[in-house]
Amino acid sequence: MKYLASLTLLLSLMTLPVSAQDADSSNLLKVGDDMPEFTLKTLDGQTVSSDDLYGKVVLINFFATWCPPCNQELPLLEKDIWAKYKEDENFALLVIDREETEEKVAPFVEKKKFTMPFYLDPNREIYGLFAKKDIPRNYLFDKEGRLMLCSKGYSKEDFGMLKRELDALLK
Amino acid sequence: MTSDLKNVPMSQCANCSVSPPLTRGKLLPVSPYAPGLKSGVSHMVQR
Repeated sequence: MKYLASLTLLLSLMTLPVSAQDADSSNLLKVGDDMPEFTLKTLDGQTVSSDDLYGKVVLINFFATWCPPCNQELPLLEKDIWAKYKEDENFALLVIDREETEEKVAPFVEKKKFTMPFYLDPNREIYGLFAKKDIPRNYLFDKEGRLMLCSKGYSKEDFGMLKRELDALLK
Repeated sequence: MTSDLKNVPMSQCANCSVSPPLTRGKLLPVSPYAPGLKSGVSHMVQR
């Protein structure tokens, strides 16, 4: 009987959808965690470090130019978030390209007419502080550098929640 | 989106896939890392 119960449990676990077993085990941060320490370069060679961001609400987006859902999300990031808060000195946006170089990213930004601040993470070093895999990803930190919200993938619902949380933090 | 996918170099896409928008979303639980979020995994690149 005990054997049968164990077998039933095992079989039920095996039939769980892959995604249900992985509620985002590839994410390395959880809500409440401090922002990892990092230094990044902008497309024009300037640097920014996590220390510079203390005291600001910070939204970090990871993407790649070849990633279709990232390309769905980026225009909304520009239109709904950057356009709204770019003048707010309490806000910082870091749009970080993963594993591509300036030669690839600069023409992409120009072609899409983005004005958001883009950064490069050509060796996946910064991304590796946040997650193991999957893009796009968003991480929203409060002024004390604590993670308030994170998401992976693009969906209208999650992006709406991101906007609402950002609105609340910058109120 | 289909045309975008064609632009993904095979070397980059060896270990990635784009989740079907609707079916994956229905299977997903709420992420423990983002309370309240349904998780946007319905539309991402696994890589």
